[in-house]
Amino acid sequence: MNRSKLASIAWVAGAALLLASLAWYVINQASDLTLQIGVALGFLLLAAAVLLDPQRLRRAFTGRQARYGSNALLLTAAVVGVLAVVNFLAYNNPQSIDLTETQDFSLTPETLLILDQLQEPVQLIGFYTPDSADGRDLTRALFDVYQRNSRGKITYEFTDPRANPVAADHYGVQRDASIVVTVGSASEVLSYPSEEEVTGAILRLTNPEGRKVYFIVGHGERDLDGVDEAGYSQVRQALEAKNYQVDTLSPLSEGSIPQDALALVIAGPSVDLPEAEAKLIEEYLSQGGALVVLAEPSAALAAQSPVEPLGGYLKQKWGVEYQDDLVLDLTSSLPLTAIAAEYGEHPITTRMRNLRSYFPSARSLQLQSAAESPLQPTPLLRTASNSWGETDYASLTEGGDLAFDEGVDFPGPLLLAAAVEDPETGSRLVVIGDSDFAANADFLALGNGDLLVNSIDWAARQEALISLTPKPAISRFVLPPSTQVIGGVFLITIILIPAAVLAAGTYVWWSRRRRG
Amino acid sequence: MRNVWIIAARELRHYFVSPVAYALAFMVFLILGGIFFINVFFGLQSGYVSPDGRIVMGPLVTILLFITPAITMRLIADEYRMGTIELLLTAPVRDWELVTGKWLGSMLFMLAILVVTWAYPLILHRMSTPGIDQGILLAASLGIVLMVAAMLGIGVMVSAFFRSPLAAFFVTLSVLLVLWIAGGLGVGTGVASEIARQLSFVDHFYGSFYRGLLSLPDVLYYVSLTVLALFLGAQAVEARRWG
Repeated sequence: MNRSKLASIAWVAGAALLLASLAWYVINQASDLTLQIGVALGFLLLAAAVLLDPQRLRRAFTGRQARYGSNALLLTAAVVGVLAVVNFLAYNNPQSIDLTETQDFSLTPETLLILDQLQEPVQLIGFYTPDSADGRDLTRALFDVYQRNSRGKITYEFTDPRANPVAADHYGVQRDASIVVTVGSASEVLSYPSEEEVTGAILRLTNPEGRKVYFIVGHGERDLDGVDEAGYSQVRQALEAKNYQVDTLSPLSEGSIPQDALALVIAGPSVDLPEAEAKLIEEYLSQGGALVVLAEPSAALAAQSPVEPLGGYLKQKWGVEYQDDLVLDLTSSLPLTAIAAEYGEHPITTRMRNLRSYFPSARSLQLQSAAESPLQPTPLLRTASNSWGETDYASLTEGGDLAFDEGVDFPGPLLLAAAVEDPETGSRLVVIGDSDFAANADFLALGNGDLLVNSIDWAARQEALISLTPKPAISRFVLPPSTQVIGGVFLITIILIPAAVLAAGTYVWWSRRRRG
Repeated sequence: MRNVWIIAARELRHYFVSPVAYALAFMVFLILGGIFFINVFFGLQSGYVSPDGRIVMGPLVTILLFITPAITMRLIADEYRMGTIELLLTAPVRDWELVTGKWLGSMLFMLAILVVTWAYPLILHRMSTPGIDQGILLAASLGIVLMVAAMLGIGVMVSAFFRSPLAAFFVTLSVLLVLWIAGGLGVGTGVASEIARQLSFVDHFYGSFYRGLLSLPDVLYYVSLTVLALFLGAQAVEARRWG
């Protein structure tokens, strides 16, 4: 065997060893002894190859091929470089034209005006895990439009909340596919990537004012700091992430409702509110206040009094009546957990985008709307028709069979939540017949947490500080075609088009054959 | 530039007398027609058909992945195999003119096929009120044309590297597949992931054109890829001169 042949073997073996070392590193992700030996041996072999046949290397660097080769290499590098720079510039200034008829990728004039008046830099951060890459792409398109129209005021980035839990914690992000809008040191978490939400958040953050929400305490309500399953610490976290200042309030000891209260929340009291407190709340509401009541069924409470002062007021003034029952729902695998089967048309529920919600041990409501009353009541959610409001609690504890008793129980579908607005005073009320749904155990499940946060948003008038021009929605549908049309479509798509190509091909093949 | 046109016209003529080209076109239309009709027919039976021109655009992109390597495989490889490359190289034609001409010929042929695929959305347009979103159809079609340009460019480039059309076919397919799945590496949030995402062949289409958005970075991506592929193809042809 001559030296040139040995050199060839050494070249191949050295290169193979280096590649194998690389593969070893990829698999083990660490530099260990085997890797070091492999790399060392690889380079030794290459060195041996050079020493065994030095002429070959010299030829490779000085020959005609090499001269052309290095020219080509330089030229290629130049072309790749130019293309990379051009693409990078375009990537940083993404210009685009929206060709959709409904202008899906354009902003409304209102948003454009707000962006035009932006003084401070705004940063949008999308928290998406790789599982929700589809949502991330849609959000990226939305962020792009904002960035493009903001004269450099808006920047955005994406981060993975699982890979970067510190950032997620810092902004109070509780779940995947959330977006955070930050202005200066203030930030707000949004669950839906829509123009309405993002613009609303920018508007709120650039016009900071105290946004105080008070949770009434003193009657066995949910504990805002309780981290156990029944606690409401997730509610506090979600509201604070949305830039609310959350505080507790005992009206009786304070003697009044603070002026800065955007909304009051009564979350599942276990005893009735005394008359004096109910009066204070009444007074607050008559001055344009907002109240969110989460009422547990009396079966779950210690004391039972169907006409407690607050309940009586809600019925008389607002037309929302508690029914003394416990909702049983057979669509649910746990009959005591009611499932919202139908949502009403309301800002609270339309923002939930069809996310279901469920209510462990709920009571139902009755909504009365007097014809002459100026109130605007909206039923928010109802259960399915195979549910009913059980009034005989004894049968539940005795383990009797669960059945609807005609005339005694309330028949489904049952109303579980309602929103009422008084256009005269501007006060708003939301009543939900359960408080478990937003407790820590279920807050992040489906749309449960959204329901409460949206309710507070709406009551506090923070859901839409600005109304955007609605985009033209075109509903398109395929007309049910006649048999002839279907036949025609079949003829054209399956037979005619392919057959025409086939015929032309056959003709070409045949005429060429004939010509030989 | 005249040389480019002469070569392109010659290639285009070649396609129209080649039974293989007809077989490919037949296959495309049969599959697309089948997908279209089945979607519409069974959609009507289950009560809902989305009046959307993209009904065939999605599948078409996947079919193109397999068709374009077959269209371009013999373009330059055949010249090597038959020995006709000597004639071309000694003729007063520059390498880039040769490569661009070959590419343009295959592009014109593919455009002829793509024009026919408009039949399906237009049928759907006639069947629905108030018709399909023509803007999305236009954007998606432009995207497909740009995408095809890049795919054919890569095909011509690979064809310039090989003597055997079959080898060119499989290598082109592999290159396209690698570009196809490159986006899969870009799941993270780092710079490397971002670059991988930007290299992904399909994301530039589905992320914008397919939704009705005509965006400059995505247009540039396909144009750059085409230019780069044709440039490398010309380099490969030039390399033949040194040997």
